[in-house]
Amino acid sequence: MANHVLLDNISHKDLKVITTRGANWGDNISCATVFPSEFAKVQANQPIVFRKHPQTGQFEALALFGFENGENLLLNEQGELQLSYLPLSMQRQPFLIGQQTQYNNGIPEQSLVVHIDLDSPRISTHDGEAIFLEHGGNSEYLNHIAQVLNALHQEHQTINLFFERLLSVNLLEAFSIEYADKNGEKVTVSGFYTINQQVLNGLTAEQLKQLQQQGDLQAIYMVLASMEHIPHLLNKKWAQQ
Amino acid sequence: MFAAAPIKECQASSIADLKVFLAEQTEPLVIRGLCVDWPQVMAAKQSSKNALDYLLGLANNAPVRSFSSQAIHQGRYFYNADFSGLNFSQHADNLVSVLQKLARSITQTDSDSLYMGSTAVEYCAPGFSVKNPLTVTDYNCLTSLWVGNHSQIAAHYDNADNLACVAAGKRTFTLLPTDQVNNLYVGPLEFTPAGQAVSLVDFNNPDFNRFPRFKEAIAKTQSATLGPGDAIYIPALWWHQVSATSPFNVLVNYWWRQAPEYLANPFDAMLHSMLAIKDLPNEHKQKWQQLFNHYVFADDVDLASHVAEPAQGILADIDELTARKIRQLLLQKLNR
Repeated sequence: MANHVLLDNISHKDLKVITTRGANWGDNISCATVFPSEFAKVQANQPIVFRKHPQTGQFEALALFGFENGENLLLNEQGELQLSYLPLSMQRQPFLIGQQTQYNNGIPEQSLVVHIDLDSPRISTHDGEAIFLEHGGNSEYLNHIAQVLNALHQEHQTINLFFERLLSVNLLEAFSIEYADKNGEKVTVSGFYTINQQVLNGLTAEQLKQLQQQGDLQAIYMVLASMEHIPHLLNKKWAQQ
Repeated sequence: MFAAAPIKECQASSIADLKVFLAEQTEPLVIRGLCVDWPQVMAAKQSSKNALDYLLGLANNAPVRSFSSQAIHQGRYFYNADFSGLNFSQHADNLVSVLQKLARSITQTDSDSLYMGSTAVEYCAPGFSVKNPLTVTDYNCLTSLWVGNHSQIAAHYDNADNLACVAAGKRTFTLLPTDQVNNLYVGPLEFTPAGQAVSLVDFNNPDFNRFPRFKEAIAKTQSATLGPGDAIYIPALWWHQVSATSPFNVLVNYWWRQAPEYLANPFDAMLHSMLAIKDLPNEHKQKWQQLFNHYVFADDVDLASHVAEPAQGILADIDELTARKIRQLLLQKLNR
């Protein structure tokens, strides 16, 4: 499925990347990973939910687009996806961050390098954004991707601590979403977590102050506000059935 | 090996102030007995094993890079036969494990070559520099450790001035002035065995059919063999081949650049000049040579005083601010 290689300006000199979003380009996805620094922008349009990553068991935050695998209820009739804010984890596609060891007077140092998924449907030689300039320099687009990858790398370093802080004051609670399918059968989508509002309301001034100083308090309220989008998303599902 | 002239030498006891003395040197010089009072050197004078044990007492487990090369290559760290890669392998290692492997190799004959080159000494053997001290310059100085059994590093140059001290074993240094570049048949600039371009000539077994001009280089060659406690000053940009010949060898070296940190790397400038000028028509190249001579190389040209001071920019003596501006400008211009 995926064919990740180190990006270089010789093997990949003529490659372009289609940045249009839509089902044709792999956006028939039911969720995207998001990070606390993005919550304010994401909550304006999608629910933010937490879940444990199926492989690592670590908590992660997701912007929810649908309720079944591959279901994106935000795609329009032409299959296009128009989001007012595109999460970093989607902006980065089809690039990934890689690490490379370099030695500085014998001392190993990790440096970040850009990998590309050559099997991504976004890769093209005629459409989209050029990765490299005519003579091999980095395009503005590649500079932007480098910033996105760097931001994601920073977020990955700190996301576990964010959830540890929420867990330390018991702010996470499990929840599930229920709806009736087109045959009237009840469907339960479980495994989600969100902020426990009761616990939040019962926190001491000192606990709230700590959350506020860590920058978590705003993220917490953004998650709570974003829950209002779940009924909207369910309505879209109803409308499609 | 051909006969080379001896490198000029002196006794450490004749030097009053090493810093002042080194700052005055412009040619290679062997300083005998400079580090004889180092405990590392005193251990080495007893036996290889004592030398190894002394260093093992300071070594830590910090990740380092070690190299090994099969016995058939006789310690010559080089390209493979068709230049598609190198003739040695690299390992994620640490100094303790390197020394343990070397301890086993001491007792073997015909062993593979094992080598840890140029690693910040305080990073892999904390306290070494305090116990084995030497002050060589007031410039920012990189102190590095080199440990291994037999090895032969092909002739190359470094950007920095270098004082190399043999702390255990024996090392032979073979030096040539920078201007011998054309007689040394230097290999690729971008793909190198250890960061610096190397002469493709095997000094121990020169192939004069492939490298006929090397005969002319021989007349300019100087050589010296150093034992524990001896040191050699290698000025920046002098070609040097270094062979370690004992079962256990330790070198400590000091690199310093007589230039502020904010200046750019001259090798990068040369590479960019090759990209920009090397393949131009000859008449253009000659004119660029005149401009380079004027702006870069001439020491007696007044570049700036006819320009109003605030507008002099890089024409004036370069300070940190000017360096920052020019670096940013070059980054933008290079990206095309």
